Amino acid sequence: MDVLLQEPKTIETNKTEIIPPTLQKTVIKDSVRVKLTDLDRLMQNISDLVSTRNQLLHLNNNQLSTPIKKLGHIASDLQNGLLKTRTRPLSTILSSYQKTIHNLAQEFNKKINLYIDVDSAFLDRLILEQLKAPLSQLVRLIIDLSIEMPVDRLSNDKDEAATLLIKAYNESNQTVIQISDDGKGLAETNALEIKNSFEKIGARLDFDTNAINIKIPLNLPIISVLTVVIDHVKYALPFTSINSVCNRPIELLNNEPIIRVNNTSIPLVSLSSRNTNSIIILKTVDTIFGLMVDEVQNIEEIVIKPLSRALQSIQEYMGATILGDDNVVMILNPNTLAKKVANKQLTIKNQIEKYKAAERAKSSLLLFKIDNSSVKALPIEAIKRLDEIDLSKVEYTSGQAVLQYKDVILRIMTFNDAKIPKTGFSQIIILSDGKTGLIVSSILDIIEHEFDSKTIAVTNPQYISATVINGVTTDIVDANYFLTKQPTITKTNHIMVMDDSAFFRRFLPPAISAAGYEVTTVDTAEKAIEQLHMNNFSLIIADSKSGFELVKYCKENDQFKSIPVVGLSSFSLDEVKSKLGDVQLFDAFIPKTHHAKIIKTISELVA
Amino acid sequence: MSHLLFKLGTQYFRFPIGQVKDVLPIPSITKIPLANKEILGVFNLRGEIVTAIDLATILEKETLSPSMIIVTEFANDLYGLIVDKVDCITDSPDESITILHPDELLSKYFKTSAETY
Repeated sequence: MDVLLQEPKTIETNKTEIIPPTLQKTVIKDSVRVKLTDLDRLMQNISDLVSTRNQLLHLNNNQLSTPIKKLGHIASDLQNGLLKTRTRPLSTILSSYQKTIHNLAQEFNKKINLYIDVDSAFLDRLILEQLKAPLSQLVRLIIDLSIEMPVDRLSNDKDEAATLLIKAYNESNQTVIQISDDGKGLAETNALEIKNSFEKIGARLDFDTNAINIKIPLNLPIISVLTVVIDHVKYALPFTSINSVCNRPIELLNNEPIIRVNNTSIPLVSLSSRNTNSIIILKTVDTIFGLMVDEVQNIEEIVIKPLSRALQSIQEYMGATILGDDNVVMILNPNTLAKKVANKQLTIKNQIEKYKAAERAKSSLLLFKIDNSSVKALPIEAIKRLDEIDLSKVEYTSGQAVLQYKDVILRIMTFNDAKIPKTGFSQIIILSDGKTGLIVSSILDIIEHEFDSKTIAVTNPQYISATVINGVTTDIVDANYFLTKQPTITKTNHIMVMDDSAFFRRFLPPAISAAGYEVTTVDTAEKAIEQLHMNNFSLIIADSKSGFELVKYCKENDQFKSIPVVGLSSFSLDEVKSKLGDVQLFDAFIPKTHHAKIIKTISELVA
Repeated sequence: MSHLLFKLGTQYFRFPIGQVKDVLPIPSITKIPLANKEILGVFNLRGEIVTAIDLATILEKETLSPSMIIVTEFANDLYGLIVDKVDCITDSPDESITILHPDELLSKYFKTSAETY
């Protein structure tokens, strides 16, 4: 509700369409009365049509595929057309609400700002009629019981005028009307009678903190689904809830599986006991989450069949359907699956939330800088130790900087993936796992800080949020980001190509970078040595003649000794030995024009 | 009145024929994770979805080799009860064979399972 209060203007108020009198006349002239049962039968016929089309699809006859596709389009046009004859926008019954609420507010001596955002919701005409009375009773009850008197609101640090929001939207197979307010809330026990009258017309009433959701099932039996396999069982997922399908490594955040997409942590739900990498990202009204699946199959248009009483209590399913191959599959309910993550999602935003909840218990923060600019803070609980390390002792393995520290191997991390200097000493923060070290430029202080609500949201995944400490904007570091971060291998494998021939300087790099390496080319040994001091190379490729000085420099210098140097030559190693004498300095020789061999050698030596 | 005789484990039972909608060999059943253990899954019977129920579990009996499904209707839904063997339809059954009424069984089942939720 806080958000709502800050930006009430973004919510469009309800507009009533005024139809010119001339047009109204024609509308009346052109309409006919139809029995609802007739429309219902037509809808059933369309469902059967879709089922039959699905069976045809399974015959797998190439000649049939185009007409079957056409048949599908016709069926969905028919369904939409028929639905249109039955539905009307919800706004039609709310058009007089501004006035009603105004009157009610006066009656109860309360001040209320009403916002209505229901433009996208359409409902069956009959249901709409039946909804009128219970809906206005419910609103009246909210104004009476939930919204406080202006005086009480002021003494509770609230705005004098309460906010009442009526919002509605269509979900895959239901319409949701959400009524929320910033009052003290309406207890379910006070609205039992109203709850019953909603249930009588087939709607469900869900009570949330300061929000009541009225869920009305849609008379929409045909939907598009994506079929997936989880643990050898096939399921269907409503297509309207699917955001995307992706395949990426699962990370753990607070022991809960997540994936990262565009710097956002998306919590995962699993219906099987093991984790899989195929993930369907599902979006419901208030949650976005991933569902782990073993296999993604087809998109199909299906007819939803209701579940028997024995299965209705399982909230995870919204129905079942018969696919073209005559097998039954269950349709998963994304809204119920989302509830499985609701708590987990809280834990992801956890750290700050925890501090907010325990406001009186101040938390200790370590303040530090990573460069000369802004101040960062890390909760003391996330830190195991502070230390100083010798940067020249940092080694690299599979793209990860590591350091032998006491008796463990410490992963060395930097903010923004900054390059780790090769020499000198640096302050590090060893995180709570005792295995992750964060390089920082200076440690400032440890302070006691009380988190208030004035945190600033940040988009950088390295930080949970920003807050003001001692008058300075400070980023709160997300320790979990570093604890769970995987090394980015391609970035750190930087290869230098040194050749005095301009042709080979252009000939080689495309193949090497195509294999996922970063390439720097130079034409002389002097320039190569200069580069050595500026970058962190995993491997050097040098012309065996003009690069001799370079390989000698590398192998005689402790700092660069470990970098493998590959000689480029048109001769074999033995031939080179006889011609050049002391060539053992090179780690390998490869023919200049043999791309495949070059890539193979690089990958062997870098690994 | 006619009865359908069937075998569950080592014991014979009978259903009033009026409550039997169909008898068929066990088809391919779609498993439903998260459902009660009595519910074996759902299957397609000529375009209708039938919920397959393990009769033995409801009756707390043992099955030997389940092979047939007896379909019955309850509260507008179709249920398939799994049995070992369907014997015959008879007008003069052996009075010593226990009569079961599918609707009673199911309504009792819903009552008890509702309590557990």
